Amino acid sequence: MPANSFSSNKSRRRILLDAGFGFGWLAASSLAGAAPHFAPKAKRILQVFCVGGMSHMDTFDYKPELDKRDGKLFEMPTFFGQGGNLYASPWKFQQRGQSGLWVSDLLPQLATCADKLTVIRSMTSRSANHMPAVAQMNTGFILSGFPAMGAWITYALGTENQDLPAFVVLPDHRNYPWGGTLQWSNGFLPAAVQGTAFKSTGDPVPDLSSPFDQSRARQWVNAMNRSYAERHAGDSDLDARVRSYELAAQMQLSVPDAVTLEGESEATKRAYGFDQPETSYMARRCVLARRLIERGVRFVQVYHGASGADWDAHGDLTGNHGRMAKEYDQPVAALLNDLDARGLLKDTLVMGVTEFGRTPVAQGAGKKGRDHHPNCFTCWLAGAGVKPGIAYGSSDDLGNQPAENPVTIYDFHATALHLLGLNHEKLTYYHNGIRRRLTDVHGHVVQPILA
Amino acid sequence: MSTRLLLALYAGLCAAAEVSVDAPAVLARRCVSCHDAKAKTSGLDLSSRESALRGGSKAGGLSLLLRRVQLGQMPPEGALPAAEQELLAKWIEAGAPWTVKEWWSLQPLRHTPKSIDDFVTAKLRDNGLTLSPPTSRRTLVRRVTYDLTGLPPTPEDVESFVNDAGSTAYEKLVDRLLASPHYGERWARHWLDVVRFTESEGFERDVLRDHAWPYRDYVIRSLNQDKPYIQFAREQIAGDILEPKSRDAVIATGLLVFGPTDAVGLTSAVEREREAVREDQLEEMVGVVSQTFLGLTANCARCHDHKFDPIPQRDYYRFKAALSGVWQPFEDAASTELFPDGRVLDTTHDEKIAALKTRIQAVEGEIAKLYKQTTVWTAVKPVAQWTFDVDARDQLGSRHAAATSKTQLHEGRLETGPGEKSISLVTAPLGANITAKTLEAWVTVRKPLENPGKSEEPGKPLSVVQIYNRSGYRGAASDGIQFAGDTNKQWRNISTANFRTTDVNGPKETASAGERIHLAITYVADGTIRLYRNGVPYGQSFRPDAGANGLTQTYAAGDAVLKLTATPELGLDEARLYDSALTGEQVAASFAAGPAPAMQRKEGSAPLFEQRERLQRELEAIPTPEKAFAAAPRNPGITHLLLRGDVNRKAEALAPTGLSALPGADFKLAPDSSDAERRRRLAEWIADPANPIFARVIVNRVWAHHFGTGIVENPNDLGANGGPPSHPELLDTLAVEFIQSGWSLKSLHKKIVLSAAYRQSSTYNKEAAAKDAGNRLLWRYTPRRLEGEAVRDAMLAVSGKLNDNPSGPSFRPFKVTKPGGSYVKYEPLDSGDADLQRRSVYRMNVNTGGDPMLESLDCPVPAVKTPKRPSTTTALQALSLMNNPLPVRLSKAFAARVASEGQSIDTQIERAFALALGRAPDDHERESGRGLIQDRNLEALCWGLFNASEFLQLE
Repeated sequence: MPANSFSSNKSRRRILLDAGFGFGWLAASSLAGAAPHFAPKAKRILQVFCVGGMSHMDTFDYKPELDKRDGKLFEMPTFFGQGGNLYASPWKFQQRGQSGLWVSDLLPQLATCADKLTVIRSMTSRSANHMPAVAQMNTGFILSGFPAMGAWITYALGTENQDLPAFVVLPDHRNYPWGGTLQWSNGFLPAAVQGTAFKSTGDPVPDLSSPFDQSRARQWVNAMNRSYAERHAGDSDLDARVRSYELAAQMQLSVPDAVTLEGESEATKRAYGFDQPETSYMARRCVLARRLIERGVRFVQVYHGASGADWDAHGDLTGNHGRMAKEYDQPVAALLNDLDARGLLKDTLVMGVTEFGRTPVAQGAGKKGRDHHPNCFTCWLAGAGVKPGIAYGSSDDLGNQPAENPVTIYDFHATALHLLGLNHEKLTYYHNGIRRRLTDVHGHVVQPILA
Repeated sequence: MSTRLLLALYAGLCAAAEVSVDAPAVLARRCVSCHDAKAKTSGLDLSSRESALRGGSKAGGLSLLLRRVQLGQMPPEGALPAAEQELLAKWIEAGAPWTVKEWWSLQPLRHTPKSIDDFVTAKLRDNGLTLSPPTSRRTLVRRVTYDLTGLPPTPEDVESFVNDAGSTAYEKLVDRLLASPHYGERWARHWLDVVRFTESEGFERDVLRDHAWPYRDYVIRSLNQDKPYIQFAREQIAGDILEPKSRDAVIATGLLVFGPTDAVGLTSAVEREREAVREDQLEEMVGVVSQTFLGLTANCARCHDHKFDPIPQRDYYRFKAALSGVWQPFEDAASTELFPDGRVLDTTHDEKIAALKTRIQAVEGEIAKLYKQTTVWTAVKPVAQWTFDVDARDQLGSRHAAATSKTQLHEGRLETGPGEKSISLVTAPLGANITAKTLEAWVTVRKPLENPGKSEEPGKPLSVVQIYNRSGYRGAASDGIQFAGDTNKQWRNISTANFRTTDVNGPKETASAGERIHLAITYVADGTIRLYRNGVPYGQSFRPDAGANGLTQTYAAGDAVLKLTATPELGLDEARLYDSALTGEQVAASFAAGPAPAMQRKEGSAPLFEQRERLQRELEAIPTPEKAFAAAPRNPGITHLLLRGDVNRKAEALAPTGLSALPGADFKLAPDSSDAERRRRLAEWIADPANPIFARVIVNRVWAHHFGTGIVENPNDLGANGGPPSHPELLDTLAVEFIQSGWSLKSLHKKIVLSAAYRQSSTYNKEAAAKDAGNRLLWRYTPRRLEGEAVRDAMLAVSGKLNDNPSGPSFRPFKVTKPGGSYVKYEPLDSGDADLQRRSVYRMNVNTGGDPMLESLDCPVPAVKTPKRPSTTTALQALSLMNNPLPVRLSKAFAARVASEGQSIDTQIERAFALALGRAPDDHERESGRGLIQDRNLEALCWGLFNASEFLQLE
């Protein structure tokens, strides 16, 4: 009888409880190598999150029918409860690159990367409301209290680099997204897997720098703790604590090194857009994201936009999306090119996500906007394990509902886990009666987009 | 755990409860993740008897299943344990009965006249193990003091216990600790974890719940009083009904409502959305009640029958029906049953206020009679006019603005007082619907408008007058005049739904201080919105063009109100509302006529004004009512079964009941019974000596905290998925004795901590560990790291900074900012402020304002029900312990304390060790400590002790 077969909640949880938490997370994370369920295509994920809801029919989902019916009344329920007049995209669409993917002029730089992109035009989700919508993209659930995808992945795979947190969040310089830190919470998973939000000023990681010279005192503590661990041989969480102080010291060196962008070449800085006021913040986050990916961070999440300063174009689509896209387009395109040039795209999955799409009907006075629209929207992938230069799924003529191959957020998550070598139905954690999953009781891997 | 031990436990479980492990539960656990109704791998669906008997796409039915299981081909993760294979074989042989067997935790309690140590040693003996020898007195006093009070023993406590050889010394120590007020603080934290005590609403806004803290004090108080647990439980389910006159009983119902509040969803304009949000809220509530008191996860049966436990889906809805009258305190103008942020505990408070307000109104009526209407309406007469001469009354009708204690009237103008950010007065609701309309105002610029707000801030919008419907999505229906101080420094139409807030390209406002400006905004029935400034059109008119109906908003009688605002920048001289869109000429005429002239004091009015003043002061003197974030009951309505848990798929109506697997579940209530009837029956049914699982659950929780692991491993789940009990007879015996003690938790604690099992050494033993690595059988006391709160509290206590002032509003170790949108952001902070030196249990438990140090030490997100915390060791934790402002600051205080209490380096080292570790340093430590102090300073040593494993560890 195998040792783990007694408990009803065995497998990973059992292993972790017996071998992991009892000894501390450090011991558990050394299991990392054994963790994938099968050979992964991707080692890590870099996610770029557009807060507020990026419009699909103004970026990647070309809708000629919308042009034809511009200004015509169209009855549909929306977040604020009104139908309205259809609104043709103010941006022109073109087919791009070898692949001929349609990308609008709103994203001219990203358009040049079309051959690297896998565009899903039939995304659909459950909430028309900002915070729950961000939460669903992050955790699979619209209620709070569930672990973010980065936390699940850290839980499953541990870290490649002990000197850096495994799950790093780079929030927008203006603010956190809707829901704040709940969006990278560990939920009910151990606190060790929660996302670490790097701050753009001061210590990037909480409590990173020492307020006084601790070297001598640390020697003393280490000697005390080593001796205590020796006196309590067998209780290996005590060894883990000794090791945690060594790692902390390494982190104090490696985090500042990772976040120092001065050494980047002028060409790189220019490519990302350091030199322009609109792009400079996002450019810095994107370069930082690449540096973290290079250093083996498992899950990096880059936010573009924050609550109150986001893609939420209710009143003025051209102004809002024009401004946001200007900030987003060049740095993200540069990021894809840079990752590619450095060979990192081979084993990194890049995900371009948002909260929800926007309505085909106009909203607002004078300058027109679009309302929240979870029924149908677009996300894109690039890099490890996905077919580049294709569009998958489609929306109806107006971009109102998915037409072919709808992809739920559960499917999207299942696919991301699959690329990391994880079966989304087997990555479970028992919590108060339920073996919880990132994908709840849903989700199918979107096989046709896999390379 | 070793194989042999597992089998022994397994057998013990079966023998003890005389049940076999349920075969359907085995299928559910092992097989249905692939073979359920949805996935149906190989055509096989094992989620119901009917479908299981049908078998899969291959012939052979259940015998094929058995064969593949016996060959180890299924499940693919690896062969099932022999016992489970055997169980399946027998079950299939018996015709695969699907009725759920009587699960052990649902059986009646049985008492065995044996002690804790009898049970523990017997099970150890069966497995070739023994208890470890008793631990040292020094270790024991530290262990039991932390365990019962969450604080370190003082050096004096340690020495007096170590030196007291009397046979009752330990018992006396335990009695003293249980009598300490710190006992309640310590054990309340454990309870607060279970009931997900949360002091902010979560979701988008995460607004603070200012009145949640009385519940925390209630728990501490109840534990310190040793309130019978049965009463404690009943109060938390239905205290407001069982003892409506008791403050504590009302506060106690907070347990029901600490779940997250989706404020946007609950006030959505779309009814279906509101229903879905409410359904999720009730699921959360069912979860907390069933897990906390019954150790059952009834919430898992919302969409289908429970996969592991005998809880049919129908039971979920009946149980939910019992709670369906419970709402969170919540500002919802659509309901008359209104508790905006908490339930007022003094029920006479509102009456007192109302009586005074009536008297003030009477006096104001007298004053009004003395004055005649002075304005001659040359053109159009408004429907309401506020002149702020003597009060904020409507001069033309009864849309009076409610005066608040902050109301400042000065020279016939509404103004903010020194230091005030803004005053907003809300009027009485409209008497008739209004669609086409004009809002008009005269404002006086008091401070330049260039950069309203503090100089380091980007400027803020300044509202003047706004009209809004109170019901529906907050602010979606609103219009008004606003100065866009945050953006282009122009006047604009403001609507909370920002697609109506539009830049009209008017000129930038350049008025200087002292200037008076006339503003009007007209809303034409066709949707056109036009602004005027000083009688002439301002910028471009616009017309929201979404939809055939346009966007002309109707403001509803009885619902819509106006908000009249003054800011430090803008005083409000007069405001008017018209029920038509004035023409340009009419606006110009009104501007030319000017505001109502300031009134002169009339003969004989002085005593009336004095009287009004006096009453106003009396009103202000009434203290803010004490409130509690507690259950806000409403009519529960009728509960329907929802197919797949979907609010759009209602099936038959159901009456409220308990869970049918437990005795006495039929409440004999009708589907339309009142909230009071429902919750009274629910409380009586749950907290009932005849309900065996009720006592088992709490006894297991207490045991788990004393020993690190429960007799059942997951204290919130005594069902099939929570794992079998290690000592089922012991659990039963303790439960029976607990009931006999009058549900006294303190007696239970005492019994446990006096046992030899508790008092044994924590020394590791390789041979024993080989048999039972998880120490489920208690061959030693399981050593553990202190919880985050205990670490923080110990640092405070050791450094002499602990503020022993208990109770009261939570301290807030964070700064709240509102950087944009409707979203609140918390940033952690630390200071020497006395409030921040209180014990961690008094910390405000907010969702998004976690403290990095406490989080690194595994303090949970408050909204997550946490029956058991993990204990992790990470580099981020080490960084926090080294560098977080709190330990750094407190190690200074610790050093200062030690320096003041000892002259020589050696006595200082002695004292520091005694305070932090409860022992003297050995020779080597004394020498190395001396070296450290000489090289650096005493503070370095104190900091080092805070980072010592021994300081953080409980042996």
